[in-house]
Amino acid sequence: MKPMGRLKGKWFWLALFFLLFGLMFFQYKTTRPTDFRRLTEMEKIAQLRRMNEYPPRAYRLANWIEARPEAIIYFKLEKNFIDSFDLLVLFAKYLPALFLPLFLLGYFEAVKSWPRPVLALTILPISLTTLIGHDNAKGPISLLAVIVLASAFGLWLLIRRVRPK
Amino acid sequence: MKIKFSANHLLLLLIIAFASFLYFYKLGEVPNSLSDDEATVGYNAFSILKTGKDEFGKTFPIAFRFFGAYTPPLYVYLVVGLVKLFGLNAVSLRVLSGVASLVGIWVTYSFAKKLKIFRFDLTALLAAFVFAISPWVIFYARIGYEVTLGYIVYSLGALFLWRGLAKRQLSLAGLALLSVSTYIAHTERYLVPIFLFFILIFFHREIFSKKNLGQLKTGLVILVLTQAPNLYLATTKAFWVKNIARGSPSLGAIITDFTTQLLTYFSPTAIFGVSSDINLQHTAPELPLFYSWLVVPFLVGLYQLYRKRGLPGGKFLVILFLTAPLPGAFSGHFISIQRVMPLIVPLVLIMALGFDSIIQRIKPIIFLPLLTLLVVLSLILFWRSYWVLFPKERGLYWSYGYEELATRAKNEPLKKFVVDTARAPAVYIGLLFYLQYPPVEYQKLFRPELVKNYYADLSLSGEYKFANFELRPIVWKKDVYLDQILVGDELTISADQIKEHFLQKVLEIKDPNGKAILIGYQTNPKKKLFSR
Repeated sequence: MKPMGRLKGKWFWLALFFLLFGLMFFQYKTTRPTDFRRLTEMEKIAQLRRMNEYPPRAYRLANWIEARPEAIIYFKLEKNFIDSFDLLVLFAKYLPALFLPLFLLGYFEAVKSWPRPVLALTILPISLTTLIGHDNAKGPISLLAVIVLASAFGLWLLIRRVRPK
Repeated sequence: MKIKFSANHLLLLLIIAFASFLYFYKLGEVPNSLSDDEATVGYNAFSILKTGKDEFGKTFPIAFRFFGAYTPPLYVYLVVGLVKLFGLNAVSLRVLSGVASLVGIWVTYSFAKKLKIFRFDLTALLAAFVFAISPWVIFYARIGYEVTLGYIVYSLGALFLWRGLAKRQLSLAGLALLSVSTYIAHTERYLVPIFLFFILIFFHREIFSKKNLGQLKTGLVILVLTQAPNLYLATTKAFWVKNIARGSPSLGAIITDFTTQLLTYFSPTAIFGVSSDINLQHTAPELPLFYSWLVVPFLVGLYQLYRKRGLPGGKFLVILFLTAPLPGAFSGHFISIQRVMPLIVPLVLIMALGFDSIIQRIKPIIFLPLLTLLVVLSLILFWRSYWVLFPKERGLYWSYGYEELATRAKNEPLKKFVVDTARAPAVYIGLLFYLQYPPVEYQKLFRPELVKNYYADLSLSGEYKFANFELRPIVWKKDVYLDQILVGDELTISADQIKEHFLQKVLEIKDPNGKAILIGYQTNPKKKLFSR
């Protein structure tokens, strides 16, 4: 099956990317970015405690894992990245859970038909949230837009499948 | 029959050897204490060994009344033999989970080989390796209660069932193993019927073919015979204890709870990030269930599974994956990773599907060094979480300190210890375990009616009296007038109460971080009486 063949046009994808960049800009402007250099007071206490939990012979490694700025940045980036896939936030807080099967159907079919642009449309908002974090009352707007689009596509495919020929 | 020994088998053996180190190294020392769940298995196995009865005096129960949970019995009965061989200690309880997890490596490898949805031989080895080194697997390979053996036997049963279905046959060994798994842990008791129901629906052509008629009849007989104890149990309250504990929520609440739990169990954030399980006994600090970088092969694998859903192997994996968290999602408000452990094998297989696709696109010269680097970094972070932080930070949730308390009480047999159970209602079993208190003596404490109504009487006393211990909430009006040591955590007795009742600190047990977790105060009845 080659669904929505007419959407192959480059203007369609350009418009989508233009819309996504707009949403990403809005998201960037409304998010309180993760501070990769500073630890909160609680984090500092935990860091000190943990440094003391290592055996003395592993002090250098403890310093590498717990205290080096590179390690702190890595752990914060990792958390931001993984938090982008929180189904509970995406499909319970911001969107109804019923969107999930529609999203999966639409997204997988879209990847099958147009892998590069669809993957780019997904990676861009995830990269943004990885870099700036999730401290935004409006949620991951740019990622939600991709999910809504894929869900709508999934719904369209579903209707096409169940509609009598 | 001649078995061909290939390089793949050698590599699989190397993986198993490495996993053996991860699963058994210092098994008695980390976790550094026995959790209440482990102690109850150990003491009941000890009790069965010595008397043929459990702690309450019930002869060879078909479900153990642990803290009112009526746990399926097989793990305890298997531990009986280990306690007989190696004595009553942590290793005897835990070793079975480790051995089962080693079998799990082979199960994962065989699944990857037999599902016929993978392109490369290397993928099966990668699946086995990912399974072997996953934090979720290692953590539960080192615990001494039933959940690990339950999911491994379930997965083994599913593997045999698949091997049969692939040949358009019904595997009797698979059915028998699935049936046996329902006697190991609660999850499998509910999961097996759900799984078989979906298998029957989606593989009905293979199962209900004419040539399978004989096997179908034998399979039915096996199921009825092996499920007879469960069928009997289903007529008692004990079988439904989890449902009774849940109460009668509205349909709306059930749907909301179910959806929320399902979304959490399937959420990559909960699988590859910090676990959503609020019971800190179930996890180690900063340790995800799977290493975070595996989210990439997982997402690629999900897409590949979608594409291969039409193949019999793909269909089977979809059923294995989607049914695994259903009992957990139906079981109430809290997320518990122990209830969804059958999800481990399908998750690893999906990651393997992802690897299968990645290997095709990335040259080995880039893929292998990158993989090695990620694995080494992951194992360093695992060492940090499990070997450094876990023993120091999670002692409290593993009932740390009760071994020392038992030793102290043993050395001072004339002193009476009253242990406050307000925040630790199940610690009595750890003390029984460490004291190796004669089960025949302990069983005398229970009314004979309790044994008679073992599967119907769900009430728990909450107060325990054995050796020189009494475990119950402290009764201030009475306890300060008796000569005894009052034991509790740092919140049990306030500075004002110490002053008011002339208490004297005589005992302090610290956790590995040096924080006092059990404090004992000697009462002064004479002074208290004169002060009235």
